[in-house]
Amino acid sequence: MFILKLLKELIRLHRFLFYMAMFLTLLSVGFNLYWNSFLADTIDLLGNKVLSGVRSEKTLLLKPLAMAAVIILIHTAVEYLSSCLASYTCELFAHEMRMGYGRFYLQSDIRILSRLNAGEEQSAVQNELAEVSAYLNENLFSFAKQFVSFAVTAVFLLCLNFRLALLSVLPAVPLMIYCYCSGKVIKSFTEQCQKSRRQINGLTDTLLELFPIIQVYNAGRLMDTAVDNRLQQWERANVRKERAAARLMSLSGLLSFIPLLMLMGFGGAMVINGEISIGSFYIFINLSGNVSGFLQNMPGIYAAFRRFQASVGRIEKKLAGNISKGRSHVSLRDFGG
Amino acid sequence: MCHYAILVDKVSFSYGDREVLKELSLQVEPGGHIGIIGHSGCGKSTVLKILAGLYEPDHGRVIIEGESLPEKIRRQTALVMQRNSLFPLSIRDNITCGHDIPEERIWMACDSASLSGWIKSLPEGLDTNVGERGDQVSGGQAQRIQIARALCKEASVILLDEPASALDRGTGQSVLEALGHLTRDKTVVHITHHPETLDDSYVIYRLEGGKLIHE
Repeated sequence: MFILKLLKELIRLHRFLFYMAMFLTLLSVGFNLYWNSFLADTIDLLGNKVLSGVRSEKTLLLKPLAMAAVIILIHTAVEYLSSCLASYTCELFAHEMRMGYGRFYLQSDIRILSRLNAGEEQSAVQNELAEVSAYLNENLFSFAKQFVSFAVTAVFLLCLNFRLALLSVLPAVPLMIYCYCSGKVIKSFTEQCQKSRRQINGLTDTLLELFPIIQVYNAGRLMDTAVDNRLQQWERANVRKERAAARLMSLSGLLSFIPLLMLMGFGGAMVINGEISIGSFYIFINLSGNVSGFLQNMPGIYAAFRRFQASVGRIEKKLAGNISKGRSHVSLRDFGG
Repeated sequence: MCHYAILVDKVSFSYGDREVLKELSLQVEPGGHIGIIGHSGCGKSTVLKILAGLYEPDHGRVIIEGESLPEKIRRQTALVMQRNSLFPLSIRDNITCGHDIPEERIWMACDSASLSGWIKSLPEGLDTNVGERGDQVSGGQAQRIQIARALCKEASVILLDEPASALDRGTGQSVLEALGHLTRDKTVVHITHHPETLDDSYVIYRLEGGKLIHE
């Protein structure tokens, strides 16, 4: 799969930055879990004191408050560093791809270049690379963070209370299957939209190139109709895509409330029966979002990934083998000098 | 009343500060064939665009079939260009350019351009899409579609901008034969780098220093 090879190559070129950003992302997730665990302990501690009739003492609150301040400060610093490093790494990845694209032109045979259309190529560079770069910026580390949060939280909750965790996670399984199927549907609509957009770009180039012919043969009305038809096709494809995505995603949003409702019902009953503490219940309520939220976002994540895959697919031939040939700079050797 | 099919009288034309044509004059009788040769960038295509009513000269006048207004000149001329001149639409649309042209006239034009056999072999016939930039048809077929388009227009002045230069020798020769049908009894201005491809009916001019010199 070219997309994985491309990411592997980009990671290889900037492995230190990437692994550092990943490490900070993991650290941030770890701190989040620790913070929740700390809050649960504090809630249980306070609850026990209240139940046993002990009056509040200054020292009782002082220690947790100091601890909370320290955790919040470290968590904020880690989040900030993680975010900065992730953005910088993604920008470097995008830069490598742009240079790889440029390298394709520099190393191509003149016969290949003469068959290219400058307008289409410019449009490809502007649209496809911008989309790829925007996707990486918005999703690469964010997705990694969401995925790690999902996996670690699921394990953490299972260790905390196997039965309740299972009850809150199991309803999410059919949701995952639903997400997979809806993603496939969204993908086909997205491809239709992209095809329509390519046709409009092609027609715009034709209009400019064939302007003399259009004038001499008085073909203005023909071109007007052709542009109108293609714009309508594009509009229809976009409306179909947006409508399908809205329907499929809104239903997945509705379904995602089921795990939370089950958690509230069963978890509440377990607290009343004394099977789990309020602190543990708090942890489940607060962190189950990491699991169900991730699943809830799956159609969006999947659709965005498909768009990213389609964009990379269109520039695949020009990027393949051109990323690793040189680093960030095009040298005179690229010109044969 | 002007009796020339083409009358170019002391025409000058510049791209910004670069003067390409300097008081260029040319007269072509109705049915006359002229060929224009010259090195790349000397202004041959500019002459053609002025004759087609696409550019207006800075000085001088151009009269084609008694018309001097660009929009009226464009009605009198048909243009066949070197390449990339097909719309990403059907063969029919490329030939008719969206005008109401009877089916028989389209097929007559296709016959003359040696296209009929190929079009009949296509499942969708005249409604076959030629693709983006004509990528679904060969170079020779693209040029023949252009010739059929010019034939359908029934213009009295035919302007040819190296119509066979981008083709291989065999295909180029067959396209030139198809051009024979188009140019018969018409006033023709043919720009080329290969004057040997023009027959004896052509009077050859060389464009040099912004002026036409009889060869």
